[in-house]
Amino acid sequence: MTTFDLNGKTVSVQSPDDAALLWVIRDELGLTGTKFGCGIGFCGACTVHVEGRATRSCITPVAAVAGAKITTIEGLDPTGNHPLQTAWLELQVPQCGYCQPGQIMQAATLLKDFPNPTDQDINVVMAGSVCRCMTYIRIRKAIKLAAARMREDTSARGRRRPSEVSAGNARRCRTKCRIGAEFRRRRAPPSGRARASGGEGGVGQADTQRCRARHCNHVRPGTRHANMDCLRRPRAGEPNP
Amino acid sequence: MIRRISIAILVTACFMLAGLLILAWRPSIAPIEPPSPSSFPAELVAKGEALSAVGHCASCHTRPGGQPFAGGYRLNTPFGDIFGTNITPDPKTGIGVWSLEAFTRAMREGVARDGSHLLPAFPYYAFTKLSDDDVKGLYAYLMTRPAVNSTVPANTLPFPLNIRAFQEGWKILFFRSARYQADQSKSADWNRGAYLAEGLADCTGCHTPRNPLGAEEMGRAYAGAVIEGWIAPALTEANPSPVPWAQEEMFTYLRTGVTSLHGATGATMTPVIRGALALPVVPDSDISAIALYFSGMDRASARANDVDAATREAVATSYVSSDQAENDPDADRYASACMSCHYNAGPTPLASRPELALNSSLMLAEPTNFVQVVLNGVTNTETVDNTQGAPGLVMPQYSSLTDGEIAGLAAYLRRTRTKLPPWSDLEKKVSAIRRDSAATR
Repeated sequence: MTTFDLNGKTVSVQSPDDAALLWVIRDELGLTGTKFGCGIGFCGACTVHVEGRATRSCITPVAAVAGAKITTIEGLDPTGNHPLQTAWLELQVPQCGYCQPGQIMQAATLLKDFPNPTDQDINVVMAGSVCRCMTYIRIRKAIKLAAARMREDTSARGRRRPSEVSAGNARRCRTKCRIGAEFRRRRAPPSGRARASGGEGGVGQADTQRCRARHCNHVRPGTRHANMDCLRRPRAGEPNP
Repeated sequence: MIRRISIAILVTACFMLAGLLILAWRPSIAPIEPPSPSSFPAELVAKGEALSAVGHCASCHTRPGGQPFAGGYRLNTPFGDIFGTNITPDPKTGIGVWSLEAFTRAMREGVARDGSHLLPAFPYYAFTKLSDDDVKGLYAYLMTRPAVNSTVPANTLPFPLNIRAFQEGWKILFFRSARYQADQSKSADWNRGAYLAEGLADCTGCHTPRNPLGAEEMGRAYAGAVIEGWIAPALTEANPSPVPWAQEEMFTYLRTGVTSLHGATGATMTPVIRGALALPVVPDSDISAIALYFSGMDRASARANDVDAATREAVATSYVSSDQAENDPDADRYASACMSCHYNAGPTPLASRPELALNSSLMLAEPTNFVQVVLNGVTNTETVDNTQGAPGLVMPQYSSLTDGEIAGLAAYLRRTRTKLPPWSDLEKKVSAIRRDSAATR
């Protein structure tokens, strides 16, 4: 019996000591995000993190990781919003998608070791992760995009909290917001009550606040919202937008 | 005439045997009531704990998965299997009825309480150097451990090696009981390091080659040796690492098991570090002293000039372009299976990306260590296979590669990462190592 930490939870498995970690994760523990590709450590589809480092789970016996922290694609980010994952979605990287969990896990270690990777760094570290659909060009773009965002996030600027968004910007939010449009549709037709709550087309102050609270901090980087002035902290000397 | 000579020889032999047996006799020391743990002052026990960590007593006296110090660890030697004894204070199966005098005699002369000789697998030839206070500290520490009733399997030594009295012959040839003598021309730190390394940690026990009778070869101290199917590298300036072992490097290695300029620990060295030298109870000053001692032996400061250049050169070799990979199947195999983890971009490698061109496994005269790691990987916990590595560094097993493929990879790396002559008979050696490591599992 082997015990280890899987995505933050301690698990004990009954599989024999020489069972490959890949099959223990997929069959015994039921997490099927990690894929089988070749079984000999040459394709990268099975990549998971062992103590934060990308490792081929198809050739790692489960006894080798007793007591270690294992992270699978399911556990890379609690909400699935790791910068790599959002970049992958935005740039529509996957084609058939089979190799992609392994690609992302390997890329996560790449960015940990090389926060500003050159083309050579990407070529080399991703060399062991093959893609039959040949979406390599998009993988490279997504890695660079995620790297840029991760570097930005760790810089001092960061993002405002919803309560810091000015009223003027909130109004702009309301008129342009796709989410606001949803609110408008739900509250149609505009009535005296809606007008009284002060919003255009039925989106009122309370709605906007709720919108901001719910969405501003969950706005995905790279989307229209993230780049809006209301959410950027001003640089030193810039006027407050 | 012949008859007379034969009789004379026979009689002489009998006298010699009788003489040996007489010399071998040691009195049995009377058993005592197991001393109560509270009879030892706390600071003496603490001192003993730190000493026992440096001496890594637990690594030979604890079975993998067993109770600490309860024995049962199997040591493969060319003479047979020897099992570490139970040194918990259990009165029946441990050393509970051993007085301090009996313990001291065991440590300094290699004689058990009942007068039988101990095998030199127990390095009494090193512990004989310990001071009185240190022996008392170790006694206090061991006598205050939890007593475990555990009988250890019998050693599998063939006749006549299993006759304990014959160990006296070994001792006459190879052993003198003596305390550590400080070298007055060296600093106090150096002497502390030498005392700990020679008298307690017994580094020479694995790093010095042995003669056919199992004694360390004279004049070849720290020249490197084969231990349990792995090579313990030389610790003198014959050490093959491209970068010398400066004191800081050695300190980091002994404290953490991994450095960016030398790589990570493996095989039987891992429990010496993880289970002993890296423990918080061992003060930094002691590890620093040991590091100073060995960096002097390595003549590191005299060779310190080209470290940066050597490092940059080494790091550059970790990159294999797709052109190179297309033309050489071994380079291709490296690029597919190894490069993602072993690549470094300049100027210094990351400790979590072991740089192959700086690693001693490619520089030794035999490919043993390299092949072992490729076949068995590196694990997080201690297994019977000696595969445990530095904390947080796990490498998968590439046993699915054929002997020919591993041989090709070894030859390729030896050729491109080192300027040393190629290894011979690689495929045969890979098969032999694969067979032997499966056998010991």
